[in-house]
Amino acid sequence: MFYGICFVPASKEKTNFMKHLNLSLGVACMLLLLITKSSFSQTEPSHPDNSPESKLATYSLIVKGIIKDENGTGMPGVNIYLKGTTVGTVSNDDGTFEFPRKLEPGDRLTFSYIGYESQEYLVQGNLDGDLSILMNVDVEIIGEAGDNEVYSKESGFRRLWSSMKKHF
Amino acid sequence: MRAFLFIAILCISCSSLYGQVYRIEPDLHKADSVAQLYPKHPLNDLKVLSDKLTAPLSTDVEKFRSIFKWVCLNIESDYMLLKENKDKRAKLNNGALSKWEKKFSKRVFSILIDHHRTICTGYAYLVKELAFHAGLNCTIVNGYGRHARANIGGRGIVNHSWNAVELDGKWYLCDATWASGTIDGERKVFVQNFDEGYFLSDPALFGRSHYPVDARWMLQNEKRSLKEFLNAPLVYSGTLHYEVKPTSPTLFNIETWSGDNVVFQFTKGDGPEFSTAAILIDDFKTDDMFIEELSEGVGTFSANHTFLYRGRYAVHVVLDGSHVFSYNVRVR
Repeated sequence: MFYGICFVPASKEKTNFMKHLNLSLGVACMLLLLITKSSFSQTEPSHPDNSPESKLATYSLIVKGIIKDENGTGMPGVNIYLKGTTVGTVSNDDGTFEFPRKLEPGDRLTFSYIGYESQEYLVQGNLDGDLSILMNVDVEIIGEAGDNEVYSKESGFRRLWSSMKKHF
Repeated sequence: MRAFLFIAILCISCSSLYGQVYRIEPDLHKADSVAQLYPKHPLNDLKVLSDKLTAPLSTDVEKFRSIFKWVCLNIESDYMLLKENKDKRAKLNNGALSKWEKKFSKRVFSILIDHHRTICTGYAYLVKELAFHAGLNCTIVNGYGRHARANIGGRGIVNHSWNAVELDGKWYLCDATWASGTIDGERKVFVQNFDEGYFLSDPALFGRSHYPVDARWMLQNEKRSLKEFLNAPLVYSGTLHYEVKPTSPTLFNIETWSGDNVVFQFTKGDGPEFSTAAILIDDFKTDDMFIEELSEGVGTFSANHTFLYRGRYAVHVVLDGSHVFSYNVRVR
């Protein structure tokens, strides 16, 4: 199959460029073949457990840890998701969690709990020990509802009166 | 019409990185339908809700519309919380306020989950978090909200939260609290009533009732000062609907002499047409007529009023029965 694409049909007048192109293409195809061939016949890493999961063991990570609030207390009920999927879990009563699916470096986890700012965590290859996620309350509560009430002289006076009252 | 649309698209794409109003009217019917599928959906897992609201939609604006509309239809303003927050913020000083705020914050979110009721930061927080889970860049903007009872003159008080959102690479402004409805005249009951004007609003119009603490969120090249904002004519949501701007007088408080003539002027952009424009003095309709002048595609409407008697008057410009601006006139 690969051989078929590599060789350009001969033409009566071959230019130097075409010759070089042919040669480059030929080399590229050979290399490609070697690489693909080698991946198909990769020898399995020597592992006592030859199950399918173990083949991926080098690349997949079990991510677990604890989620804490601003007081350092473990937070239960925090929603943890693998970003871009519906795969997730919820933290335990003591704030600990273990992600139910093995993760790859480059995966992103989101941590959310109402009232707190959602966070993203990038899974890295050199995961060392349990994660410790600190949730932030970065929300200053301010409140002013929609008010389409029309301005009237009375409201102005009432305002003035209440501001005067403060001085007494 | 097509030529105009094409030119409009060209102009918008050539403009600064600030988004404007979403003038090329995207069809939001599907997004609105999706938003209506999940009445009072639980809030304990916002990703689940966000996924439901956005999965069937393909564009940024539709996804955000679905989120925004859901929040406006399903979350009510809590008048009692509002009042309590206002009172405490006025009475308590820094140390005590900070302590109270922490407890209050927890209560606000607990009430939000249990009763789908909150005050403006709660609305803004929900919009931001739902957008986050949908992969949209959205932030809470704190600042000064202005209406008949707040931020007229004085030094101003930071009393409101809204959102800025990035859609297809441009930033837009919106206010879910004010879009969801209003507290009625008795100041005790919330009336749910979706106001289109506060979804992806024109920053120049939005900025007349919303002044951000962080000036970046004005989304305008020309930045007004806080003093200008606090002393300008008072505007209502009708200005966003009709896309009108008061141009004269430039201040809310006007002083004049009895017998003098005052000119009230405003410009109109591309919003819907109105059939009547009137001046009301307190509650009484005057006979003053607005005359339109067109210049380079912009309509300027002017009307005069002669104040005969000394006193103080609330003067309103009303379009098709909808108040758009107000002034406080003192006649000597």
